[in-house]
Amino acid sequence: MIKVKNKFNDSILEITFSKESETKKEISIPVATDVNFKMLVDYLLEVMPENDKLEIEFENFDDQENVEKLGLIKDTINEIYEKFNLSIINESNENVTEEETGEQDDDLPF
Amino acid sequence: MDNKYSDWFKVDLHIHTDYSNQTKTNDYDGTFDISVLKNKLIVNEVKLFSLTDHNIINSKAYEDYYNEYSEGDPILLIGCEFDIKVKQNNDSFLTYHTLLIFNETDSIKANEISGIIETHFTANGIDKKDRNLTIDEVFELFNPYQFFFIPHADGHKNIREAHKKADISVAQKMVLLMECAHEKVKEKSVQIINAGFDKFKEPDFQDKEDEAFLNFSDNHNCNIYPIPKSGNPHEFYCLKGEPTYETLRFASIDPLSRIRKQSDVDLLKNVDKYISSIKIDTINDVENCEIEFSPNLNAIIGGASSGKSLLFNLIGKKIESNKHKFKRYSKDDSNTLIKSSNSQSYQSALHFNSDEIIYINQGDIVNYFEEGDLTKLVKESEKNEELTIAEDSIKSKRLELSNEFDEFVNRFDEFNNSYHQDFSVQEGDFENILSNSFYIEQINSTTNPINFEEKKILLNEISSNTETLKEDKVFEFTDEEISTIEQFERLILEKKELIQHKKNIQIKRDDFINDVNNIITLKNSQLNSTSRAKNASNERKNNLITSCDKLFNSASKFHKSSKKLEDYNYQTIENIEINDSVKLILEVENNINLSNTIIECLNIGNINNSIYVNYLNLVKDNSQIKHKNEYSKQNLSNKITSSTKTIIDKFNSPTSFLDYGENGNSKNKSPGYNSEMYLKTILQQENCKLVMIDQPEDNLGNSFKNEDLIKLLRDYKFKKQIIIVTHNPSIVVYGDAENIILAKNEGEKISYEQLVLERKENQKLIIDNLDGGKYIFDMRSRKYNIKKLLNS
Repeated sequence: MIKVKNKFNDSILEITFSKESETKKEISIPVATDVNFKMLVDYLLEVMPENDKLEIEFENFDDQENVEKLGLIKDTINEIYEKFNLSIINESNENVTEEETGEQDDDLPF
Repeated sequence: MDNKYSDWFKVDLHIHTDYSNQTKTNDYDGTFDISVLKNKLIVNEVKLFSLTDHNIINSKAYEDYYNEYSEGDPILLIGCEFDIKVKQNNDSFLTYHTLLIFNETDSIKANEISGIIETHFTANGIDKKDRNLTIDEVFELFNPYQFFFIPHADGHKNIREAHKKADISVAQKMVLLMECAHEKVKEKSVQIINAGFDKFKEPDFQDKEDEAFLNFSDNHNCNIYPIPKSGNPHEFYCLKGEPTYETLRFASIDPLSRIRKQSDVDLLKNVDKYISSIKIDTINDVENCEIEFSPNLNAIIGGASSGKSLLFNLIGKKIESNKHKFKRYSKDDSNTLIKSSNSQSYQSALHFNSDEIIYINQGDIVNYFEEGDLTKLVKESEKNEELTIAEDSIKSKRLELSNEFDEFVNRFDEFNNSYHQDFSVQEGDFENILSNSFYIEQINSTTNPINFEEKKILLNEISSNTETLKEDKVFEFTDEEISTIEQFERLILEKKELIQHKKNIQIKRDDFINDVNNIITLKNSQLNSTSRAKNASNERKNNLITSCDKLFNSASKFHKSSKKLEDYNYQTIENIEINDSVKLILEVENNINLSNTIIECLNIGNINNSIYVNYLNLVKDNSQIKHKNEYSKQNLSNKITSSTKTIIDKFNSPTSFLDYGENGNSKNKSPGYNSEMYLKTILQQENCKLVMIDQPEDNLGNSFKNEDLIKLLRDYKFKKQIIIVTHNPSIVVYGDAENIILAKNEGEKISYEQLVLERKENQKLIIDNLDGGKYIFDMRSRKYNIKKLLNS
C-alpha cells in the first residue's frame, strides 16, 4: 500500500507518496492556470511494478478559499487514483483467472 | 567337403566298447558292433567321436572303422578312459576316471598307443582289472602325443565333488595341467563348479569367466546308443567348427562361443532371416565366386585395396532397403545374385525392412558425433515418429516464444500510444465546469455491438457443411433423416434472416443516434460562449480521466508482458528413448539471458533494471531504440527480432546429445567415447536382423576395441547376423568370427577366399592379413595357459 497525501498550498497541489512511513516522492502541481497531471502520471507509471494500491488522503481542502474549484480538482485526481488502483486490481485478477482456468482444465473428465 | 564357415556339430568323445569288460567286470551291456554304432552315430548326426574303454584300447574296432571310413563319415579320435590315481596330502591316493583324447585318427596310431598301454601294464605285472595310472605316468607314457585330458567324475557329480574330501589345491593343480575341457555330468553343477574352482585359481586365471563343460553319452550298449549306462536320456553337446582335434582345442579356449547344448544350438540356428550366400558373376576385375555367410559373425579381412569394402558395399547394394545409400560402389553387378536363409533360390536383390538392417559406413559413427547430428542415430533406431513429435514440440515452443515477443511489441505500442496524450486541463476549465451554464450531452452509441460479419460466415459454413453431409452416401441417410437435415437447413436460413434483420435494426439505431448527436452538436454550437466553454472543459476533463484509464491499463498489460519475458525460461528438453538405457536428448539451452537481450535493444538499456523500467524510459524518449532514429512499432519489432534471433535459432537447431543414464551423457565426451556408446546402442535394436559395419575400429579407443567391442560382437552375433570389415585381429580372433572372408588383389584381379579359425592351414593366412595377428593368437593361447595355438 502506498499512502498518497494531497494538500493545497498557495494554489499548488502538493502530493506526497510514502510507503511504510518513508517518503518516496513529492510532487507539486500548480493549479492557478493550466493544470498538468503529467508528473503525477509519470510517477504512477514508475510505481506500477510494485503492484501496490494507493491509499488516498486529502488535507486542507475544505479550509481553502476556492473550495468548489478545489473540490472539483480533488474529484479529478481522485478519479485518476481510482483508475490506477483499478489497473492494479485488474492485473492481479488476470493472474488469478489464468491460474484458476488451469485448475479447471485439470478437472475435466476427459 | 569342408564347411565354408564354422558351423555346429554334435560330439561324443565317450563311448565304450565291449573291451571294457576286460578291465571292468560286466561293464559293457550286450555285444559291440562298430558298424551298428557307426549307423547310430550317422542317424544322430554325430560328427566327432571316440571309443574310450577303461584302461584299454579296442584297436580292432578302431582298425575296422578306419578301414571302412569314407569322406563325410564321423571322425574318430583315438581315446581311452583311464583310472587316474592322485596323491593326497596324507600320502593316500584317490582314483578318478579321465578321458585321454589323442590328436590321432588312424589305425597305426591306435595300435601304437594300445601297444604303449599294454606294454606298460604287462611290464609292471599289473592285472587288467587293477589297471591305473598316476599323472606322472600319463605324461611319461604319452609325451610324444597331443592329447586332451578330460577328467570324468565317474559316480560323483563332478571332478570337484570327487575330490571334496581331499586337498582342493591338488585338484586345482590337476586342472591347471589340463589342456582340456571338463566333462560335465550334471548340468546344474556347472555354476557350483565354476565358483568352486574360480576361488582357487591363480591370478592369471581370475579373468576367465568360462569353463569348457561337455556332456558325453558314456554309452555302454551300441544297440541303444546314445542312451548312457544310467538309462537316462542323453542330450548331445555341440562344438562349433570342423570335426577335428583342433576344433576341440578352440572349444577349450573359447567355450562360451564354441560349446553349446543341442537345444541351444537349435535356438541359435532358428534365425528367421539372414544372408546365406552371394554369387559374384561377371563383375569387372573380380573373380567369379560363391560366398556363404554364417548367421553369426562374418569378418571380411584383407590388405589395402584388396576389395574388402567392395564386397561389403556389393552386399549392401543387393539389399533392398531405402534406409541406406551405398554410394561408393559403382561397378556393374547385374549378374551377381544373393540368397537369404529363408529362400530356396538366388535373387537379384533381397528385401529387408528398414528396421531389420543397420548399416554403418567407415567413419560414420565418429562423424555423427563430430558433426553433432545425432538425429541419424534416431533414424537408425526406427524412432522417426518420436523424433518428429519431439521436433514439433520444440517448434511449438519456438512459436510460443515468438508470440511472446509479438505480444511484448503490441503491448508496448499500446502503452506508448496511450502515454503520448494530453494529461492536463486548461486554465479556467474547472471554473467553466462550475458555471451555471448548460449544454446538451451527447448520447452514447450502442453498447456491445454485434459482429454481424462473423455470424454470417458461421451460418454460411454450417449451410455448406450440411449440404455436403446430406449428399454423402456413406452415411446412408433415410428419408426421415434427410427430412430432419432439411428442417435444420431451413432453421439456418431463418437464422440468416434473423441476423440480417438485427443488422438492419442496428444500422438504423446507429444512424438515428448519429443524427441526434449531430443535432446536439449543432444545438450546443448555438449556445452562448460560456455554455460552449463549459462543454469543452467537461470534454477535456473527461478525456483526461479516459486517457489516464487507458494509460494505466496499457501500462499494466505491458508490465505483465515484460515480466513474463523477464521470467521466461526457454530451456526446452525433449527425450527420445532409443532403448532402455539410452535416450537422445534434444535441448534448447537457456544460456542467453533473454531479459538482457530485450533491454540491450535500447541505447539507454540498463540490465540492472527491469524490462518495464527500461522501456518506460523508451516511452518517455522515443529515440532510444539502438540503431533506429525513432520509435515505430515496426522498428521495435525488427529490433527485437534481430536481437533475439540467436535465441530463436536455438529452437531451429537444438543441441542433441545422448543420455546414457547412470553412465552420464555424451556432452563434452570425445567422439571416440560417444562412438562406442553409439555402437552399443544400435546393436541393441531388437528388430534388427542384419548389422553391417565397415571398419568400426577407425577412431575407436584401443581399450574399447579390444574389450567392449569384442564383448558386444560376441553377445550379439548369436542374436543377429553381423558382417564386418576389419583389419583388427582382436575382432576376428577374440570375437571368434564364424566366417572369415579374405579379400585378395593379385594381378589387378580381386578374389575372395573363405577361412575358418580352427583350420590350421587357414590360421597363417589370417595372421598374415591382420596387423598384429600373430601376437593376438599368442596372447589368446597364453591367456588360457595352453600351448601356443600355432606351435604345433
